[in-house]
Amino acid sequence: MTLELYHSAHSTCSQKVRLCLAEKGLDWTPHELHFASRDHLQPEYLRLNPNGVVPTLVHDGEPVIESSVICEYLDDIFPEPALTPRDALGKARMRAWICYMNEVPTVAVRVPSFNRVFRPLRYEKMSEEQFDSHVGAMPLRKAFYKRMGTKSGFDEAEYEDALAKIRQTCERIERAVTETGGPWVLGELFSIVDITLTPSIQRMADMGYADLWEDLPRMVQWFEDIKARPSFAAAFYPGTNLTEKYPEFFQDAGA
Amino acid sequence: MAFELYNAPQSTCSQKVRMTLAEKGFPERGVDWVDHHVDLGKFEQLDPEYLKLNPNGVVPTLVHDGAVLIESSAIVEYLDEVLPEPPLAPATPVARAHMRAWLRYIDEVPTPAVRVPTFANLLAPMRFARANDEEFRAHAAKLPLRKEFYERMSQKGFARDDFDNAMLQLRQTCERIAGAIRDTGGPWVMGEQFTQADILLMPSIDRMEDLGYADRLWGDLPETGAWFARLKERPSYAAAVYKGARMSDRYPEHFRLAAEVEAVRGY
Repeated sequence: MTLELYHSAHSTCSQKVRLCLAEKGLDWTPHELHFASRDHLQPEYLRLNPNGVVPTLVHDGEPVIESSVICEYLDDIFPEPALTPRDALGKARMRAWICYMNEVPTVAVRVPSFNRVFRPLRYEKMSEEQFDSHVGAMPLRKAFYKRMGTKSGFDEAEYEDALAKIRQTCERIERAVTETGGPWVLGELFSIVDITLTPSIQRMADMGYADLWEDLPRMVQWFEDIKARPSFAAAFYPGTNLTEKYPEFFQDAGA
Repeated sequence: MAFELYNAPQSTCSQKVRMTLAEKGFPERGVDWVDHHVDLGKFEQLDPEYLKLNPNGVVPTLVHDGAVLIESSAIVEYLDEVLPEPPLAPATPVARAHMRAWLRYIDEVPTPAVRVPTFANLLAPMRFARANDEEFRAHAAKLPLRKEFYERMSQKGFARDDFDNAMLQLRQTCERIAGAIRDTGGPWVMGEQFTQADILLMPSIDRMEDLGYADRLWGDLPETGAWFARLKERPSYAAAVYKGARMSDRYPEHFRLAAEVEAVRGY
């Protein structure tokens, strides 16, 4: 049996799958993709993942894409320890969370991430022609890049909207942990919901936005409990946080 | 009755759940399941009572024996688990993962994309043309989800860039359907078996046909055209997209086909 993961150290969706693999105690072979050299848009990679994004899991030669789908797949074939409720209703509630996370926080964290780091790092020096051709080659999320542009980044309204979405996510975590009794979002069971939320929250914490949830005590405790799990250290190894990888963009952090 | 569905006739995500209920032997609204009509024209999806059921303020919401379920793709998977016959998901884990990758793609790409021509050609001028900027912003601020969609849209519709991008996304979806039919041998996107992926694709393609974009989007993709023609022959299609559920039937006085809209707007 072989598990290979095409991933990137700092990609939040790669972090979701690394958390899941660590929770399952599985060994895997890493293939690190470098966005700067456009590894994710090369024809060989697009054959594995037609969306041109990371991660992709290859299990005994069979590619599986989409981070939340990969987590459910791993839970299907390696059932212990279970990361999904057993009953249909519990599963449906987990999947409604997954839909929300894919639509709201996962998308929202890209806005400050690109404004702070990736736009100045990768796109600022591109000509308009280079940028158009780069974005044109992306199978998904063209409109996101076009709104960002090479020079201006996302405007104030979009930035504020992104922070409001993260705040909404934190409030929903607070409410869920309160209603289920915790310690996890679905209650007693540590699940794919907790795994899929973690990288968005960790990214915001890393970039200095933890004040978004400092008044939500259960959410704060939930995140502390997450960070205490061995899977967190395995998924967020040194170099996976933006402040570690690109410290030059955070010299004014807190200002 | 075991199933109650809060839904709207023209809502694409409601159509996904209605088609699934019909495939599972519950075709008739009001008979096989309780039909709670949420009037989107009156913004009933934002009523405090409804938000208690569905904090996202969108349709559909399924109530099954008192348990509340939200998010159409999660509801469809749920129905397939509690009503296992006929199965709408492949039996092997790897094929199920491939189907779920379709679900994620459908949620990210065509489902949001069809909202752009729908609002640009029909709903924005119909619902918001007389609103001033302040009223419009106040409406957007009330939405738990998708504020930015409304903020990018004016009372009149979308800018050309947003419109063109949505059309590009829908074209990609049609190409992927054709590619999947070629790769799997069809007749459905996962191959022999009719699955949740076909159901979740249906309303986006149906909406684009209704708005008058069929030729432009899949006129040169015979596999996609044949797939959609087969899909419409299923009794579950007629149950989900009943008379009055398509935009052209629901709002005949406001409805304009793509060619007519383009003649005025220029795109």
